[in-house]
Amino acid sequence: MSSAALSLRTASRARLPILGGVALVVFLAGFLLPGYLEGGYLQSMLNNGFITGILALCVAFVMHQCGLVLFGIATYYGLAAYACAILVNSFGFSAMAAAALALLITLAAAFLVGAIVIRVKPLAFMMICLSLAELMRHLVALPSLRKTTGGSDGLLFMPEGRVFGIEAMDLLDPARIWPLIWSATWVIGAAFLIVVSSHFGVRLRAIKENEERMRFSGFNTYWPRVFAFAGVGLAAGVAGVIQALASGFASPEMFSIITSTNALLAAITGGVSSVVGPVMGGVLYTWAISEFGAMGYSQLFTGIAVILVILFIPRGLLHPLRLLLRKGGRA
Amino acid sequence: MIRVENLTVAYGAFKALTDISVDLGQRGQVHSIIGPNGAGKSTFMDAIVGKRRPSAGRIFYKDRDISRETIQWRRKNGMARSFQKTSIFPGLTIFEQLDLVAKHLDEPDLDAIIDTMDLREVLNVEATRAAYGVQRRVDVALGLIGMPDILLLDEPGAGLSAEETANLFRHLRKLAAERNIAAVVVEHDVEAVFALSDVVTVLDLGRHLATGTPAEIRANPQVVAAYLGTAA
Repeated sequence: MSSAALSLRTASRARLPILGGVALVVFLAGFLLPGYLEGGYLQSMLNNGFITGILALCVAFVMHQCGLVLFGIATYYGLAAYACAILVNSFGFSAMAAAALALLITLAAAFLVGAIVIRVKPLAFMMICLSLAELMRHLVALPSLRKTTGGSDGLLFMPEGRVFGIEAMDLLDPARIWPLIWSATWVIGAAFLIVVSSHFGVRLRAIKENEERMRFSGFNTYWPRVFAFAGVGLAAGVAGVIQALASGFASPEMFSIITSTNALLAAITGGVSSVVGPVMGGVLYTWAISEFGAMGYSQLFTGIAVILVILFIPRGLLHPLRLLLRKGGRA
Repeated sequence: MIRVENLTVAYGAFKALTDISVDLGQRGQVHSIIGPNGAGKSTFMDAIVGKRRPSAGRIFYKDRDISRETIQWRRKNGMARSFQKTSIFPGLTIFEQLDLVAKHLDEPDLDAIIDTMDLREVLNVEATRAAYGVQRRVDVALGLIGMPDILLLDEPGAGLSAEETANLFRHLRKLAAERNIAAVVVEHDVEAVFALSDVVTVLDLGRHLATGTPAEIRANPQVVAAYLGTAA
């Protein structure tokens, strides 16, 4: 290893134990949250916020690492949910087996789609991803597939068996599924963080910065992005499976443009350059929709709020918080 | 090291290069390509590194026909280039980008390249924030990684002052000698080219006009008439 590399790595690793300790405390404390939330409504909103947060993480990752706007994350979210529900209903799989196989199917689908869309220009990438989600929404609602997919009514399913030690039917209780959502968010966030900090992550960003120079440096610029896309699809699939298990239901609306838009706006609201920002954006965005919805002005107020954030805090809500923390640290 | 045989590159009906045959790239030497605007210098460079497919003719590298090989293959087999317009990774620090390429190409001595190109003081600087001269040196450094056998530089002095260009050429001569690599340079600055090149090739309107030592080229009446004029 060169001396330059050594000095840089030593400097960046100095703060790791402190950050790791804080993260561990927050992670453990999160499991105690349901005891402090009064009623299922708040818990449900939090659950939805974190699921949107996972989708926002996916969108932010693709934006930050590949420079692409993923406007069709709903494809993998909905696909995993439907695959899980169909495997339980039509093939008699246990909840855990259905979830695992649904994720494999989603990973394979994301890989195949990635292999095609990564080749095209950014605008075409955005439009193909969006169109694919809409195509899936119509596909599952087809009357001819009603027996399997439930048509436009969606698909109810009754999972059996245990998922990570929890009885599948108990997961319909918002407080019981919370540990699963909380853990999944951390695992996905940590996985993205590891990738971003890794040699592979630098390679992805370098391709985003200057693809031609990467090719002239001897790199294959195609497969890393396909793998990244497949990984993001898998992460969105995790959110889809959890949502399906939390509601015992897969709906065509999971593929809708609203799902993709919510994830994108949540990512922008929180900030795309960290793993905390998109999750925070997901929770805030879900809360805002719920609160503004109660007043009857959901779209109006949410739209105004998003415009204000983009205009005045373009790096997302986490950015000023970070600056404040840094200032506090120096003082 | 590189043999170009009857190379023609056409954009539709327009021929940017016509029937060029020339040998390039003696180890330890600087071989410059000069010519007026529109002579086809950059297209020639692009064809050699695989960015443009020849319409006719063949390119040999170490006696192998590489006309259909990919850019990645050429780079991994010792052919590196820098660009007329600086081509680096603006969002990465200078160290991040050098380290990324060094790991990929198994560069054994990145520190030596960092020191030779005088980049140690700016390693932690995001490339986009570095001075233009530094960015040019990063561009060349990226080409030097992986012990290339031949380094092709497209107008390395573009945007630099005469003094900076002369310095860059001195670096190149030193590198060519120290690492025993061949440097092929497309450059507009005729004085720098004649002062620091071992061999010069002149292109004009997509055709090969002459190849020789700087003294031979200065004395070539065709070159004087087509390009050098009173500059010679």
